[in-house]
Amino acid sequence: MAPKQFLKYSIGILLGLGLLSLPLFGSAASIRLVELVLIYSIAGMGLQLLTGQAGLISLGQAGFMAIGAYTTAYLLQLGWPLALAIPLAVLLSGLVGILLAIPANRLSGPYLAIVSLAFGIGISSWISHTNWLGASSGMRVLTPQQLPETGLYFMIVIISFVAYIGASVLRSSKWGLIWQGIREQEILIAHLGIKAAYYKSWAFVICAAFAGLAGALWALYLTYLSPTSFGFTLSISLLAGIVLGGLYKLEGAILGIALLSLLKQNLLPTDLSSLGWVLEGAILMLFMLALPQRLWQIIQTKWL
Amino acid sequence: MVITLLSTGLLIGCLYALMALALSLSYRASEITNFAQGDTASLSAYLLLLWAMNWQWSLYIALPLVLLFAFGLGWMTERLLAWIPDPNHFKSVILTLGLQILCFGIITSIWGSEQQSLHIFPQADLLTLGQWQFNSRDLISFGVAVLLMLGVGVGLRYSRLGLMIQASQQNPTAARLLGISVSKMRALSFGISGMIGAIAALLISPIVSLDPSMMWEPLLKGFAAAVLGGMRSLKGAILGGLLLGIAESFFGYYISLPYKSLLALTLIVIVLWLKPRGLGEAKHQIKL
Repeated sequence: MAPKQFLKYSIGILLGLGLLSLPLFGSAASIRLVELVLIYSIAGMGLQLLTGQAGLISLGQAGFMAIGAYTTAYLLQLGWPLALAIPLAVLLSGLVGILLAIPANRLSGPYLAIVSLAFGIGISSWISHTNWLGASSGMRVLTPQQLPETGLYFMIVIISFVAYIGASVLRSSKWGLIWQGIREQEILIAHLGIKAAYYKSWAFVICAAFAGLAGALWALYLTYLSPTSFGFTLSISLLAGIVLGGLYKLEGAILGIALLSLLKQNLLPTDLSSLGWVLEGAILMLFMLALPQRLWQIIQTKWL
Repeated sequence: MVITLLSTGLLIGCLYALMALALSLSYRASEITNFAQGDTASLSAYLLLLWAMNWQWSLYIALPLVLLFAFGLGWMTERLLAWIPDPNHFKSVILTLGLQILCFGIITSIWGSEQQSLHIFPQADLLTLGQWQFNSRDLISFGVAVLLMLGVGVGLRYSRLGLMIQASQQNPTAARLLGISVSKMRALSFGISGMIGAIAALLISPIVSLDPSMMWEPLLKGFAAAVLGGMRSLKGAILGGLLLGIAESFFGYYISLPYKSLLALTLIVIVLWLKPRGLGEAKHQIKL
């Protein structure tokens, strides 16, 4: 085994063991925090596939999380078991993803950003006016009795592990390569006889499904849903996370999101939590101006 | 009833038209949709709140200073965009989004997220004209918006600077050969956009009162209007804004009030689905 691969696997195994044994020594607050980071990471993995791998911007991630969350909450209220509610939530988010993919396939650059933004905001605005979803006052999530606190934690850990494996398999498959081709040279991909629109649609659907999964878990985590939790700022936070992680690597995206949420949750005092947005904005801007790389280059040429 | 609906629609439509005008002016200059247009405008409105209300500066000093600030912010946005190494749409969109959330964060950290009211307009009186009643404040904001739109139109068409801006938008290479600094004209367009946005925010503030996310909806409506009218056409953007305002007001009365704000979002999706480059835009082009 190559040393780099060995390092990767050992870090993965250590991280997995650490996560699985956390309930033994961790405090309740740390468990909540890890749960939150994992849920965000799942949504971030989907966004990484779409935005990082396929180069298609989406500002509607929070809307798809809302679909996943509200579907789960609604089905649980109807008395459905969790094992059915979550897959259905994922499926429904994916289906709505098709609705976004239809117009989005023909668009590029700024127009795509506008449409996905309209989509994301439209979903949460629709929810906040729809009475059977609790409208703007919100909706209680009836968590199943048989799910204890650590049960939810283990469920989230296992599901995010499965999601990670799924996303990395997708990335290294033919699909991942085609997405990368679409990002780099869409015209070239078309000239190779590959239907770019087909693969782009799937990227949107898969991204939406990941967001739906994250949303379903988030419903169980929050236990009370309100449309304001799925606002535009959530989509931007996820985007800032994957940009911080370098956009092109799945592990980077997870790391970026984890780092950003830890920073926002722990380092900022609670009365200054809005500085988190300033931080996110600064990250997005600095990375697009390539300041970190430029700084690194200066350091390399001057001192190394 | 129809007259009332028409006039409220026209009033709000004017504000959408201003946002659309600002977006489309900067889009024409650089092919970039400026997502920061909304929140930089709110930041300017908050500055006016600070200067005119908290520090009791005279409005005659505070207002020009705020407009200057908005102009500078727009100018700076363009300079930042020009500073991106190997720029593409993706990076520019994310940069403006970053600026947007940065401004939002600054507003929320300084002023908090609760609503505040900005009393710069004279007290509203009801004017009666025949059988219809008008709010004087609405009339003022309508007048300001119309004057501003006319001013931008006339300025772009007849003044030397306006022609220079237009030339650098239509054919940058030729403009550069004629000795026009295209990058300066581009920054100028962004600055003017910033100023228009700030005025739109000030006119909207009596309707929605100041809160950090006050410009999100107008920004989206502005996008919808600009997309409806074709992003490159200023006339189209203004017309799109007015039409959207009127359509919303009728939709709200006859069909459904709560879902009113979904109309613009649906319009964006449908229009761009049918016409991927917006209505009134030239044929789909792929640059090789």
